[in-house]
Amino acid sequence: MSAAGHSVAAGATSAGPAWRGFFAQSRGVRVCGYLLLAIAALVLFGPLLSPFALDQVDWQHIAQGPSWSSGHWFGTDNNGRDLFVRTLRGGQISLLVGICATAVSLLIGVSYGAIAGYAGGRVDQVMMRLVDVLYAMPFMFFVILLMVLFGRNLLLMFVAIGAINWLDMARIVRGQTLSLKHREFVDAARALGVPAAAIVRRHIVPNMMNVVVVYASLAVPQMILVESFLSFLGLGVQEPMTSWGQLVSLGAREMESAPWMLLFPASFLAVTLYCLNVLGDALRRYNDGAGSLRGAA
Amino acid sequence: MSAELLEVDDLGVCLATAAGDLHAVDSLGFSLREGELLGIVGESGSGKTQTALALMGLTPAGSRVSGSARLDGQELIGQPEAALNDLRGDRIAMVFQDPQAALNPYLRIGVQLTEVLEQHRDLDTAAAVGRAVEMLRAVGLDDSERCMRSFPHQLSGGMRQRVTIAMALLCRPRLLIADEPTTALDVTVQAQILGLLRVLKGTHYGAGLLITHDLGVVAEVCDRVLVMYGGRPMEVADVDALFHRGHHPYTRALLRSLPRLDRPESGLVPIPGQPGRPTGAGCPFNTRCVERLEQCAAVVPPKLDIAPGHLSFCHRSAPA
Repeated sequence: MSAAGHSVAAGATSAGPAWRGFFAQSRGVRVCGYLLLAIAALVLFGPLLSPFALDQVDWQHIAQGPSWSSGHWFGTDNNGRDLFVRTLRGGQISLLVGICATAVSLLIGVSYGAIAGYAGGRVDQVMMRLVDVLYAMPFMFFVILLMVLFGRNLLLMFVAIGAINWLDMARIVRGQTLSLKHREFVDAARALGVPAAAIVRRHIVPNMMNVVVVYASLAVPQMILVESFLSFLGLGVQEPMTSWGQLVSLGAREMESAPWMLLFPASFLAVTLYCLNVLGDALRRYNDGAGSLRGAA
Repeated sequence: MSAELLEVDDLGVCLATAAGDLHAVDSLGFSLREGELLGIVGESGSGKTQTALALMGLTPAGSRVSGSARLDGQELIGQPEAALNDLRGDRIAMVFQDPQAALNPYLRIGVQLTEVLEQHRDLDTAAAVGRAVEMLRAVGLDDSERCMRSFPHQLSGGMRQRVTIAMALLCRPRLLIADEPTTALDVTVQAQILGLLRVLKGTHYGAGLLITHDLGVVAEVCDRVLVMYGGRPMEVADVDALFHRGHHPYTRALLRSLPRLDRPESGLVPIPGQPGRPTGAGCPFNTRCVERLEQCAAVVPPKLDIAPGHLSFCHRSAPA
């Protein structure tokens, strides 16, 4: 552990970029990193390789298994649409939701938590009790309600999922802010006449980015999962657009007659989630190691 | 007496602690003339730092500050945050003890320096950078362009303290407060930093308060000294007068407890006991004082003029 930690610290403080140290941690991290890159590249550019469009029905091949000769590499669904294109386009939506929803939750959570933590006292009490109250609300119910009320808008889905997941982020950020606001450089900034808003923005928030980034990296797969769940319930994206969750949902219905309809999107989803989780966890370990060594030095 | 740069009257800082209110600073008064460097000396817990924080409006939440402190006639105590933000960094600035902790580890030096100028002067980026570079040169960082691009951890301790001094002096403040600026530094670097504070006085700041527990530092750079104990003033005098004609028993006890090169055989005489919690009654030093009188525990000693500019707060100093 300590030997690994040392090489990590050296990577973080020497002239070389920090990410090199991060990927040097273990082979698993490197494999997951490459795998995720490959999936991202495939999802982005893969649909261009296939002659079929997302909603194009191939009447000759309805619910056919994977075959090289027909050009339907992943087979077709029971409407005759190419599953390769649909899986990859669905991946675009899933990844987009994961990233955008995380961004929304970061934006709300970081500002809310930092303001509550820095203001302290009664403001903090009121703001955090509100978070407690929201925690007690059944979250899925809320998302479903929002989706039903405002229709199935992709943008709204980002906001809805993100807006509900910011609670954890707000608590983490508030805790970090509480410990940071008594650091001497904050007093030093105050002693130089920097107003509170600028102190939070320029001195507090950048100093907790290591913790926030780790949390965000673990939130991305969580958001993807939430979107898949919503799509599985039929509340996700609207046809002909699709997502991994929706494809899994459709595939599950035809599991016995057309197993490829479940297998391909489900494997993509599972591998992506696994890689994201491994990378997020590695980021946390890397961060802890570097942080503790820096503190001890 | 009219041209005082800083006048402090009856300053009190009361901290709310778990064991009740603690009077960290009590009825403290002193004044500072243009071009003067006043040393505030005392043991840990004597209220030196709380005095500085009270002047800056940075006392911890839940503390109460009373009395008055006027910088060029303008009241500092009890001002709203916005008014303080206009003053701080511009007309009153502070250098902290640990330069490592006082610099934001995630921001480049240049960003931290120009932030101050953006706050107080309407400078565009180029002008702010120019001013910051110039200031870094003034504090003896010749490779200032490289310094501007560095992160705090890439500089040595002495360089970091030079940077925080540069940061405090960017707007040429009237009053500079240095809270143990050399404690975290090596002895050789210490001397350089103290020399720097001396050299920059007058050109880069009006007058200074140097808070320290090191009498050697005081003798080296200060013009006058305020000795504090238990949140109260003990003695105020010019440096020479204090070291040669120190009047207060506490001052003399402090001086006796220092090693002396010219009399190595005499040994050190420690002050017995530990600083206690200030009670508010009598002289705070009375429990440890070897020259204690009967009234010391009950009556707060009055302010007594020993000589022009030399004040002592001791019943012994009273004319019999």
